[in-house]
Amino acid sequence: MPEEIDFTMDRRTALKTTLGAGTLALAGCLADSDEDEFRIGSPWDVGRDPLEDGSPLRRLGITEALVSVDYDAEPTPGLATDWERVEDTRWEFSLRENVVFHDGEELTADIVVNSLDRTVGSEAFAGVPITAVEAVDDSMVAVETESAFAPLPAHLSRNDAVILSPGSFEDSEIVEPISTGPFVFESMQPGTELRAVRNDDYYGEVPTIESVQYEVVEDDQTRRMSLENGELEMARILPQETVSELEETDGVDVYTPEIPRIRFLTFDTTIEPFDDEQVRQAVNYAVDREQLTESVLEGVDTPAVGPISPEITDWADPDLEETLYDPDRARQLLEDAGWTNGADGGVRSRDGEEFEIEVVTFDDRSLPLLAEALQGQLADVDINLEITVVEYGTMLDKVSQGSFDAYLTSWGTLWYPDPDRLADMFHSDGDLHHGYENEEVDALLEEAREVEDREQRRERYHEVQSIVLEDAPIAVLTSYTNVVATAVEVNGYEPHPTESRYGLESITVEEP
Amino acid sequence: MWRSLDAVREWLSERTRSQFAWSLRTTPGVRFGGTVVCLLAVVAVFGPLVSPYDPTAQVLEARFEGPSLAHPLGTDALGRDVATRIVHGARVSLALAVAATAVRVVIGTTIGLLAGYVGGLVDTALMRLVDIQLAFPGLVLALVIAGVLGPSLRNVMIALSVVGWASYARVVRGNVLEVKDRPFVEAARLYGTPQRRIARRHLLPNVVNPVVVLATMNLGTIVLTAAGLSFLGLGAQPPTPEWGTMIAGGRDYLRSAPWIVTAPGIAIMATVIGFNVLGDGLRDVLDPDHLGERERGRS
Repeated sequence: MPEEIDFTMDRRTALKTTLGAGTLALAGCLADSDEDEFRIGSPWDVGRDPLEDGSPLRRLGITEALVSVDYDAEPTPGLATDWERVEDTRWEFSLRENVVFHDGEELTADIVVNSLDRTVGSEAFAGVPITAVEAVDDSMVAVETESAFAPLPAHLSRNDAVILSPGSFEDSEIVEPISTGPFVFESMQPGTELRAVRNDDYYGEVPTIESVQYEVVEDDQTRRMSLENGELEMARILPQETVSELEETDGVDVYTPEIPRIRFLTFDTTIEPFDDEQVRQAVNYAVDREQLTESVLEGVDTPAVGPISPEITDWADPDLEETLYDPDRARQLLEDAGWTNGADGGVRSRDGEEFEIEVVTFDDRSLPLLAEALQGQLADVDINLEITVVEYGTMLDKVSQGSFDAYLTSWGTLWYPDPDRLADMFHSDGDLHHGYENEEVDALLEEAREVEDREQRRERYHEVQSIVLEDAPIAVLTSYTNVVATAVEVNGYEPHPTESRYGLESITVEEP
Repeated sequence: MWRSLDAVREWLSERTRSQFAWSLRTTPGVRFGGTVVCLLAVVAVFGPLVSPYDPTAQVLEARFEGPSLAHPLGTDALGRDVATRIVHGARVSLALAVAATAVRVVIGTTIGLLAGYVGGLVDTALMRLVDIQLAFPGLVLALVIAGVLGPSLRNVMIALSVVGWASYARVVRGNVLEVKDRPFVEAARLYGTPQRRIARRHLLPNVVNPVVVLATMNLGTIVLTAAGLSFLGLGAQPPTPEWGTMIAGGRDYLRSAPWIVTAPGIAIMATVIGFNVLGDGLRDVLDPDHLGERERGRS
């Protein structure tokens, strides 16, 4: 008896389940029918506030700043049509005329000042020496800096410095990002998606795409498969190893633009063994960058020795050696530094201590695989490399406490379009934890930050690049290549070098 | 007369022993599970001696090669032979599982014996400790410990050793409670045998069986958990050939080079099933009461 009751229950449950699933499936089909939407999949989270996960807002073209970035990675007019450094520490920006915010508010100097005051007071701008932002007249804004600061326009192009309408705020909280871009914010789910629609009143080129859906898809393979299944029109930041397969996939276009971002090894120059310049150089010579890019990075990245790629901008020193690989020289340098092979070969040692170093890295951007390949290459010159793979936050904790010999990471080198970024990397007050101090480098970087003339600045930055290659507080490995794939129907996409915009306004989508 | 009694005793023990051996041999679970586990052990011990490749040597020209005669299970993203790494990984996984289980058994049995035999406040205190531990999901606790100690194989072993002993303590305590008032223990006590000797000679042998069963099942779980922690990056660090790490390193190539993930996946599955089936079989043989209960429950 009991069995029979069980059975009936089962059947009913099964029936209900089937019906439920059917309804859901139907609903799914209906919801999917919105074909005019341009869907972008990216790993980065999205927020309402430009200061918190707000970079997608600008990339999508919702928010705009006074200064924009062109396709040569140089500052170019945005909401300001022109700017001038009237004194060493005073700049004046002329605002674009007849610009209207998405909520109908007109762009005025006062609104810009209010919006920038919030930016200047934020933590993101702590390193930018702005002392005052003021309205000169209705269409001119002046910015005063504490000291002469040539990179100012570049900083005002940053995502943190976008101009928001007063209607965006409610008690200084951002309720809706209202700006002036070619797309208008519609809705968002934090951690999931953001929707935007076309701004038909845009002052510039009005997009042909009607609406955009930005989806946060953290997993690389999921993003890729969604694109292949036609659930996305564009998938961003795909792993290098997918390129060759995607190129063979029907219905998908792959873009592999080199961007100003490097993968590099940072040495702790304050402790053994990397307190010795010769040892750091030895690592530089022991690494076969060509092999790294050709193998584990699938021939997509480019070998690099300097922090900025000459392919992207003339801020890069074009006279740096192209390749450093010379394992014999590496061995000689290590010998000279006192690290010798034992009688039995094997790992080098000095005063009875083995050459064993801990390299910390994080689980993203192919870095663990790169670390393993490095491990193999350094073993060739008898250096024993231990790898610790942790999460990004944990790695930052570890390196800021100085508990590492070297760490492998990836940095954007022009994410605001000015080479002053080199000061973050090599100035003794910079953000990298190498403990490297060179008075000459410090002086050059400080001068270059103040001087106005581009040629003079460039000379100084070139010199910094050649000195740090010699001193080797870091070993640059490869110049990063971004992998973006779109559906084949998508036309007119041009990858932006600093990724500050997707350029959706120039994209058209063919009818399939 | 004494002699004849001895003879009877001997005959009986011989008989039970051979019957035990016979039932061990004929229980299908023991046969199957035992074969798998023995195979694994052989692979772990002798495999590395036979394999012609170095498990960590990178051949960047031979990346992602599919299964072939030279590489029966293909090569991975750094051109290393997957089969060699599986075989070396068996060593790592089994050694870790055995070590962690041993620690669990020692801690768990000691605490269980103490709690069961001493009783009173000691029992209450120890058992609350056990309750607390059982209240945590083991994997999560191990994750926290391994996370705090930092990523390394040794720390995973420590984490897995300190989390799993509670179930042993419970089982041992239960069995001790059951036998400690039996006549032979009473007799030993009346005879003036020291407490420690009673625990060791009279109680311990009576709790061995369930502990053996539990430990066998546990070995499989530990292999799985250790692989899981390594997969998450908390365990073996590259280039150590460990199954979980291998899966983590190969998951990005699941579509283009499925063998990198499949091989360690099957290895883990076979190990876990092997130990579980063996444990089940051993329970049927060593712990017949349990079997009886189950059978009765069914009818």
